[in-house]
Amino acid sequence: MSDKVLKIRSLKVIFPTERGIIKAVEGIDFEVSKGECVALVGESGCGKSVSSLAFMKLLTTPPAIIDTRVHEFDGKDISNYTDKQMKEIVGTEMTMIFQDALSALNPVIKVGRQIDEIYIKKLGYSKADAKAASIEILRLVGVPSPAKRYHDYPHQLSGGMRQRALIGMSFASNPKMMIADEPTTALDVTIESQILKLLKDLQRKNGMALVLITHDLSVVKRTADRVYVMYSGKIVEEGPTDQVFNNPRHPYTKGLINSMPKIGKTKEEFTQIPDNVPHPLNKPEGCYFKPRCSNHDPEICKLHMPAFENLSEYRSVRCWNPIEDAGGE
Amino acid sequence: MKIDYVIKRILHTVLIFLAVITLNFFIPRIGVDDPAERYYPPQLGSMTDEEYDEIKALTREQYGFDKSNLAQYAEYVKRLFSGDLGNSFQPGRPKVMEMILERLPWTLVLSVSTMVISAFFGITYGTFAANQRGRLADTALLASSTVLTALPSFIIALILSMVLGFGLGIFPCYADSEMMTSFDWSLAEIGNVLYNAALPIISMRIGGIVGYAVSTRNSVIVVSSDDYILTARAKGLSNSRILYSHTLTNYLLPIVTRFMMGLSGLIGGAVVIEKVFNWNGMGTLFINANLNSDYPLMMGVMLFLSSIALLANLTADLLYFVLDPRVQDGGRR
Repeated sequence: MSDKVLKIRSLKVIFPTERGIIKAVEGIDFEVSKGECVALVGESGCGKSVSSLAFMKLLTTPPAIIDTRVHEFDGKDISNYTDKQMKEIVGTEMTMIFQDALSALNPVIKVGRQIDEIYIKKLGYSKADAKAASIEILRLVGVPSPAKRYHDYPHQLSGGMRQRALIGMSFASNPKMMIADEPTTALDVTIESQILKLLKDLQRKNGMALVLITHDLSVVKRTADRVYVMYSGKIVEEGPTDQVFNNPRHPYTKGLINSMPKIGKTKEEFTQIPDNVPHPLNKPEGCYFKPRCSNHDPEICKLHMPAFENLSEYRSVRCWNPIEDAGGE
Repeated sequence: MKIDYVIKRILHTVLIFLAVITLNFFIPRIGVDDPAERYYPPQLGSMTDEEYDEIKALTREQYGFDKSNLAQYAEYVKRLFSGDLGNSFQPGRPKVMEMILERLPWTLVLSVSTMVISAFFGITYGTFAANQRGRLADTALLASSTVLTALPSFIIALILSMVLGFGLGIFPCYADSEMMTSFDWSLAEIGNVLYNAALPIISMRIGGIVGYAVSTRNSVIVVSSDDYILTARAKGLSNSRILYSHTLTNYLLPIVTRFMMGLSGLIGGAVVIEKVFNWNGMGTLFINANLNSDYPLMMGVMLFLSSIALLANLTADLLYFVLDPRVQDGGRR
């Protein structure tokens, strides 16, 4: 058996709207192995959150239309799973946490009860056992005086505590894979590093696969083993984190890295990528990144979308004119 | 902190109640009508002006109108707190409290059943429409809601009483006036009341059902797109579990307000409907009191109606307190 926990080939998600068809995700390949932390990086609107929902088959269809050639989870082909079959693995074997824990937790139900739900409804615990287990999981994720916090409502906890509780909830069933969609965006930096550390610890503890969806490269650099860079619905670069950071081959990746704020960087050194992500209803001809690219070839980039080509065993890039190999791999 | 909220709400209600008493007392007196003249119209007697003035003065004294407004007010408040609403100006000077208590159940029959029926059907249909978003059941609701909520209930009442009552003869156009005096809790009598109440209830509730359905539909849709519903789905919970423990608990909040505010509105609306169907409830009582410048009766009925509205609002606040933990912390976050 392969140790691939999730294997996706050619995932496409489109949303038909009155003004045209929005191609949110245009055929991405994605995989994550046991014990691996993979990041999916990109600007807002590039399709990373939609992809992550599609990984768990949580998009509502209609309106979304989804097509995947391969969708395997834990060695099983789940591409044709019904809603009912999915409910057996979603929430237990594959779980998800969201950006804003305040809105992700139900405001009128006690935090502890929301964790209980996993134990009672999904794992068949009795009420009393579920309560004990929930308190234990709150302790595990570092919530102080968990027995007391169990009875709190979400608005009574601090932002960091809420995110911890949410992580605890998705960790309660010892999942094989956890998707964290911008888990630290709503938090301040000190809490951010605590939460990232917690996620890594939990991941190591039971060899879970962790998928980190984020736009924050510093988070990726600190946490992920491997990274996918996504732009306007397509993966543009893939590779081990340190290689991608030290030796970016796609101009977009390089642009993202250069625009990272860093202590000691002067204003002149701090560059940004001009313009914005193209509107999904109005994507440019040829390479989607071409209008913003400083490195583009006026002929070929304008006409054709480049293929996603392997550079080495672990690296791939989608560019006609990749940045030269800086070596040092 | 929790008790604070409850005490605050109750004190608030008491303050408004005091304001209501005051307004109740002075509003009827804004009118230029002289009650004494109302009971002894000049053209009826063959008496001289002096005799007539004397009779009016006597009447005023008897009814307590000879004193200043403030003195009357003080006396009114004093009596009110001993549970006495005064006596009507009607012949025989019946006690206002007794007149109201005799009519109140008949109004409650109409408004409470209207409320329960419209809430039940409205919420059920609204939830259904939300799940059928964009399909026939949903668009039909939205299209008809504009017309049905804009149509005053007395117009619906007139149409219904014309078609179902006068035309087809299925239900009585007028409530049986004997019914209220002979009521004795027998099954036949209860059936008779429901039979007579059918048209008034239908005409009051049509707009109500649509109103509930639309607001339920909207809050279900809003709540369903909330992040915690996505969380619940990501937990792999069953659809019914998501609906009942995550969606319902949140969308009930605005519905509770609507229900409670609906109660005060319905009693007001009942005034007109009762008149159309000759239903002998508080509404008819109130209209007659107005026509006769029967101050004590007017004040009494208004006091009852506004107290019901106040109690409904207080109940809504307290229910919110139970249902939404965020309110328990004074809504500080």
